Amino acid sequence: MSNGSDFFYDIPEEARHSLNIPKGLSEDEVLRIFSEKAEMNTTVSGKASFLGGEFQPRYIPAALRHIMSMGELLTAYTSYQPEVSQGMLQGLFEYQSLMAELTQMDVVNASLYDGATGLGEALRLSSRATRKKRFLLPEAMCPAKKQIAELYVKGFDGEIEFYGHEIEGGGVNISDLRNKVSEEVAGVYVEMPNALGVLDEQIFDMKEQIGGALLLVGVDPLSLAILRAPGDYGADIVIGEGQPLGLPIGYGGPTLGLLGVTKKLVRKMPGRVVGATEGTAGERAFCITLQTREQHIRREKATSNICSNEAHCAIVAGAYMALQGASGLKRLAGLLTERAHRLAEEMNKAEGFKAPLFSRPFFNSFAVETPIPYSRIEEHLLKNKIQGGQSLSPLFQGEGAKDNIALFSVNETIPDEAYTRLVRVLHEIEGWGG
Amino acid sequence: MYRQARYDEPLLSEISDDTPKTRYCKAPENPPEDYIPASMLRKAPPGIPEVSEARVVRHYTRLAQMTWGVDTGFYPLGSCTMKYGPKIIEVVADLPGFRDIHPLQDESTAQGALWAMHELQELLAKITDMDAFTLQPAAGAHGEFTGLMMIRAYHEDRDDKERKEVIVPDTAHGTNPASAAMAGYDVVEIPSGADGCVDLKALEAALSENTAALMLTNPNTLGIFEKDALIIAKMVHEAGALLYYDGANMNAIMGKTAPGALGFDLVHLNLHKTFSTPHGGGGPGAGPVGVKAFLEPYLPSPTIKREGEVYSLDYEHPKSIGPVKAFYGNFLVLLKALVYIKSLGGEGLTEATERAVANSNYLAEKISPLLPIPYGKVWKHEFVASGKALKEKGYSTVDLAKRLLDYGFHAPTVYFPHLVEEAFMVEPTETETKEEMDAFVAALRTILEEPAEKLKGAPTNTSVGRVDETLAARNMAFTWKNVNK
Repeated sequence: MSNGSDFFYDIPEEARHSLNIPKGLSEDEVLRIFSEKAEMNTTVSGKASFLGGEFQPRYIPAALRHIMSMGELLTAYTSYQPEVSQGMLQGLFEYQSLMAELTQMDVVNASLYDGATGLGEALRLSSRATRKKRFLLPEAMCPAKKQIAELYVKGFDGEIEFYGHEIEGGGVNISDLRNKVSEEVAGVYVEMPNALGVLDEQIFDMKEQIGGALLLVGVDPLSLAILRAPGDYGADIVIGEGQPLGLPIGYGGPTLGLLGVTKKLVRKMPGRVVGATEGTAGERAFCITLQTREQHIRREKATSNICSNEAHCAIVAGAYMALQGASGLKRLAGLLTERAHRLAEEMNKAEGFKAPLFSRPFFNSFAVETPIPYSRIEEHLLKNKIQGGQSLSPLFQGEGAKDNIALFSVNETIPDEAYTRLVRVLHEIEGWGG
Repeated sequence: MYRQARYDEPLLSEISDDTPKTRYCKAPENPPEDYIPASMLRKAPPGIPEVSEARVVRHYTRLAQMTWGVDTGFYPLGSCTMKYGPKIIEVVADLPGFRDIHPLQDESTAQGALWAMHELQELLAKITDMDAFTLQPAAGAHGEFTGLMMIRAYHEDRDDKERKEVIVPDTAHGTNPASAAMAGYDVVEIPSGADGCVDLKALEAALSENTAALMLTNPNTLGIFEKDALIIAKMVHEAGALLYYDGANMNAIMGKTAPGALGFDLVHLNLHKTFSTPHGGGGPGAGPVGVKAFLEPYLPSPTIKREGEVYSLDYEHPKSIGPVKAFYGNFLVLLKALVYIKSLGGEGLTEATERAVANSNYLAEKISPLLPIPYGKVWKHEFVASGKALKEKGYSTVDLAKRLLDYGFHAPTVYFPHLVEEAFMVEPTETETKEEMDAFVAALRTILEEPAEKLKGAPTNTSVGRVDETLAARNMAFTWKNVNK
């Protein structure tokens, strides 16, 4: 409707602001420009790229592409009217259920923003549940995640202390952790695999070692297709980056933050959760529930400010798990395990390289020590059209700083020839040394 | 009348399917036990059902058909700006060069992505009349938290540490007080004046040397432009506090005024509202935050920098509050918003605002004889009617909302803002036709003449009848393990 009336007369003259931005483009022009820009980026899927860690290139099944583009699911708002949103609600309920199966936690919410902010929310939740403000986090952890954790606890004057890792094994330095555990600690955060790629068996009986503190476990959900589930070893809160479950990497987002908790913590949990109920005729139905925790009702007393989450990513992750089934997820997790181990073995043969650097088991990523600063190797690999692994030097700052450690990751899209090419190029590096 | 698809679609866990499964990757040669100690492996596989691809596709097709989206029809959900997003945004976000790039890859191999983010932050700065932007926040509320932590950093940096209060009007979105509390602030709520706008006396009484900021959305959640916006800005600044703009209602003012021109110091935008990116049933969103130059040092790190034609990530910000999200934000959502802005251009965005506001006033005029609109004479993008009088007929606003579903319309936002009794908050957006809005009004008129039982028994044409939300809270059934067949 545009009937010529002035509906803006109440905006003061001195506050007027017109848009000094270029004219609109036709759709074909838009596609041309953006296609050119897209061409400037080097894609990682199907290439010799060994980046990974929390964000992993993933083969996206054609059927999943189809499901993720379904317009009704894509263009819905939050299911405020459950009667016309049963499909979305059932899909989210199934995501919660599938994740609960993977993690063996009682309840998984309908998603948080990502793994990193999920940690922030998990710390806030631990503090609410224990009425304590002190946390123990691994020193060997993604630096940005540390900073995000610090930011989230600042809001309630929380305090974070870091515990070290084993020099040889790469797992938790248990004696350091024991020294730091006290009655003041709200939660202890561990990662499996950790930022060094390591799977740490010590975590299985961690719960007994941390007194009354809550055990927060950060996971790669895909790894749980084969690894023991955190719910089975006493985790109170499970968090993780959900991208590995079939979500496009998209330069880092959108993905989803996994949050699973024990039944005891449900009412203190942040974020939306879908519950099963009934319609008037007693038919099965779903709706968003426990809303009295949320901001639109509790305002400043809410468990979190979160409103928009990553619901569509949760639908997609659920559909990915459904397409794969337990057998498909296990096949993929097994394939990645095998490829990573074979690559480590080959890399270890190159002069001056140590792979894996740590002695504990690993899944799809492992740390490598290089004979010269890794940045020089990375540069050389790029010249050979290989994107090397992620430098871990940001994790080894300060005293005894190291610039020659990197995390190499594999994924199912890397062609076989890329592995041999990587190893060949690494052998060429021999003799650069000094 | 509308009839939504209604399938007795089982849960995935209830589907029995013995047809072969598609293999999406090749099998390893050896089992995981050969590489990882058996003690670390799960004893039993996770309870993830084995369903064939055909059945999974059918499952999600049915779920989609049982979901109302903007692609389905009118979605006048107040405060949510449910506009149609042009499909070109999806096509661009699905280009491999954007979809399949890793946040850690070398900057030289991601110049197109960095260009897109830089371009977007420049355009958003122009639209909002701000000086610099971060694109990191994943949603509006996340943007609020980011903005408030910057406000905190600013005051602390000036050694002005007694400012522990954030003021919000009683009509504010619930995220405002929740974000303020999360950032460690005490929330001071001020009542609205008789006209639904900020009551200057109440504001004056609330402002003090303890005030860190006032959070305001303008137009407010009643759809009314805050007439004293400039005076409010002056008062807040004279008290040494900052003025935060909740950009949820930005669709109402593009090309007419801007947060910067109104004296705001920082602003978050909801790209999934104003800039048409789809809301996906709850997310993903994106909540970029823009600031005036004096707050730029506190922006989350990294920022996107341009030198000549080369783009890079800049981590050199000693006063930054640090990152607020993994990497650079919900990049593909940011990209969709950029495509939208480029497609419409300055004139198109201004026209979008004009049409959104014209549509809102048109609907307000048609609806006010049916349901009174207690606040405002002219509205911006939305208005709030009251269903208070319905009680005399034996039903309430929620019943009206449910009955609208039967007629093939998503219900407006109900029971918010609290200032209006039995609130019925309508936001048509610019992408709806007169025909659609007329049909909505006609349905409303018909419903109001129906007997109370019709409304109390509604909806009947949807996938399920009225959902028992109280039972859900009592059941506490969050996974299929807690559900009886």
